[in-house]
Amino acid sequence: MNSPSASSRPPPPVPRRTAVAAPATSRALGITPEPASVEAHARTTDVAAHMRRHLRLSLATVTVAVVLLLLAVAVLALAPRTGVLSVEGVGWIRLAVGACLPLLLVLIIPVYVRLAERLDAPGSVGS
Amino acid sequence: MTELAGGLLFVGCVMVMTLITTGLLNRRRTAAGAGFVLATAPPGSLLFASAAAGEHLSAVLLLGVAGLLLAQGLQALGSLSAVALGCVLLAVLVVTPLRRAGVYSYSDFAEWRLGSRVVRRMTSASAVIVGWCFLLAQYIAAGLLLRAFTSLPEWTAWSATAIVTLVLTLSSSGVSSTRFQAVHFWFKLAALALPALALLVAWQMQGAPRAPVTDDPVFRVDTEMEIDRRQAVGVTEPTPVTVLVSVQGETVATRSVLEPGVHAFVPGTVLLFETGTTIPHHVDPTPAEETGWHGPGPGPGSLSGYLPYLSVALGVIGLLQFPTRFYGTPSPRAARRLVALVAALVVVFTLVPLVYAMLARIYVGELLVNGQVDLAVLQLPERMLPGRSGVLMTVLIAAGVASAVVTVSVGLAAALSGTISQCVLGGGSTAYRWGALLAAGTPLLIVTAWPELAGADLASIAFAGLRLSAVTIAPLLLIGIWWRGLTDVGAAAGLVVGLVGSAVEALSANDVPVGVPLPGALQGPAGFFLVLLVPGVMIGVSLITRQRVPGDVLAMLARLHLPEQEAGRWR
Repeated sequence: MNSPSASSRPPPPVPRRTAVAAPATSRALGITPEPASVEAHARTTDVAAHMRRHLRLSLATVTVAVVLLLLAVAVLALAPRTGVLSVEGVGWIRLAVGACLPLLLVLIIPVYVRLAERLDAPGSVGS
Repeated sequence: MTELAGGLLFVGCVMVMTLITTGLLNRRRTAAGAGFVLATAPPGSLLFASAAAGEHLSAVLLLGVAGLLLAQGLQALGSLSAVALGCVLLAVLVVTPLRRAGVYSYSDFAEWRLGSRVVRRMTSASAVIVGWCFLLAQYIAAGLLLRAFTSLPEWTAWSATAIVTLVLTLSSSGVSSTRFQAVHFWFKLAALALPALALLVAWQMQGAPRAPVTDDPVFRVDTEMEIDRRQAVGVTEPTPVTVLVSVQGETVATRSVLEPGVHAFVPGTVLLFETGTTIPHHVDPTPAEETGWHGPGPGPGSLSGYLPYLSVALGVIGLLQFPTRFYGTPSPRAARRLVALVAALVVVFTLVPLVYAMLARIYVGELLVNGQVDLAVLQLPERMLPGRSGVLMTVLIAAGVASAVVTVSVGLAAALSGTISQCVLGGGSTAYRWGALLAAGTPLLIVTAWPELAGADLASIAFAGLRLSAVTIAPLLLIGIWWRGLTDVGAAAGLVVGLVGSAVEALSANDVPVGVPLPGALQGPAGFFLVLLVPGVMIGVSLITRQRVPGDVLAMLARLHLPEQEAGRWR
């Protein structure tokens, strides 16, 4: 038997879908881009700062990925013999580069997503 | 052979049934609700990610990368981490802003951001050429599949692929397309990964034979190779061989020793190699040098070594199917999360060709002689497991490759049709149909006009597309998203440099039908500098023409970068 509180519980919120329109759609609907307003100019710092924060995070993520890649190259350059080292007939350095590095690189993306969502959280965008 | 043909027929029937079932399920779902409800209730994340990943797991990745690894050894493994780096770049620099812009294609982005129809057309031209390169590779893979199992001419496979692509492109859209691609992603994964695991087990049971670590592989049994086109073969040590040549209807056998160097053979020549002889190497794809198959690639000072890497990583950003897929996600946040899942699925899949290449080097190394390394994955099961189990695995792999050809072709053709119809034909459903015809038909015309292209390795054709994408679409996106100063003139100048530079580079290659040789020393560095030159031109010309920066550029940047609740205040 349902309790009154259970029956009056509001339905779970439906994820809001953002309305988007491609240029062709916009033309068809007669939507013209709004000119830059005075208010918009006043908020230049707001957008620029937010962009900078995101760009910094993105570049840091890419740098980590590139450093990981260069590490493997550096090992081969500094100690060329490691390139032909083999375990059970498999060149392990090359195998590590081929098989493990892509996985490591991809693991960076969820970390980036988490940090980027933190930057986008309500209240975190400064004005 | 009868078993194989029967098996292929069976798998063909299963694939058709899968398609019909997917379509029927989708129709029932469509009938259950209004179109608007469906449009506002997109498929789940995993389904969406599977579809997005499935559109990129092409025959090039399955056959081409395994072939490249077989030929060039672990030196070619860098291409796999380049794909992963491309996914990282896409996730951190492109996806969310592109989704926030609400554009359906790269051409839409160019026009929306710069307000120029000219730049839109140039972006469309770049996107269409990139798409045709990938479609061409799919058609050639279909021909390869037919050549491997039947004696039918390859043009029948090219034509059949074009027709199937056209029909499916015109009949699928939205959710049905997503479901179709998602189902086939898991089918491809199963069809390729299960035989790979089974072959690894078989390899262990056969005593885990190994190929030489630093030297070229050797013939495991006496092997007869027929040369079917004029080709050059390189040997690194004196190699005994018996050459059979047909002279005036009579076969003449000559026993000789191939000295180190490059030797040319005419079509019709048959070469007999004895067990234990080092396998000679066809000159294209370029073999691994000096340090052998497991050795390191070009050193840090070698630009030509980094060009492919950079091109693949940047080229991934400009792959055509991405904006369409991300456009369908419920929010920019969902798009950002989706790309993480897509990257994981793609990278897991890239491990499969690695297994095939390692085994192919041991069991079907003789493919190095005639350079038909793309066939390695298809020939491996029967060579390792003669009998029914080998046939079964070959059938499964062939079905996976066929599925890859069809699904990727459909995804590409749909993206191309939209671009062509919007840009050239003025939009609308009739224009989309004509666009689909042009999208699927042009690569067919190209490969029919130059059948020599069918002899090229799949990876090199896809690489040409990635290279063009890296010097046209990628810089336009990266600069357009992150720099407010980009102007239409700057973007157009960069695109012209990218398109012309790529055309010159492609025509200077020695192995194309209309090739004009360029000094070899210039080819790698020229391509490398083009990757750097195009963004330089875009930025330089934009600075000179800074008065042409769109007046509403701040509003655009706000829409690209601010979270939805903040961006709403700007609209």
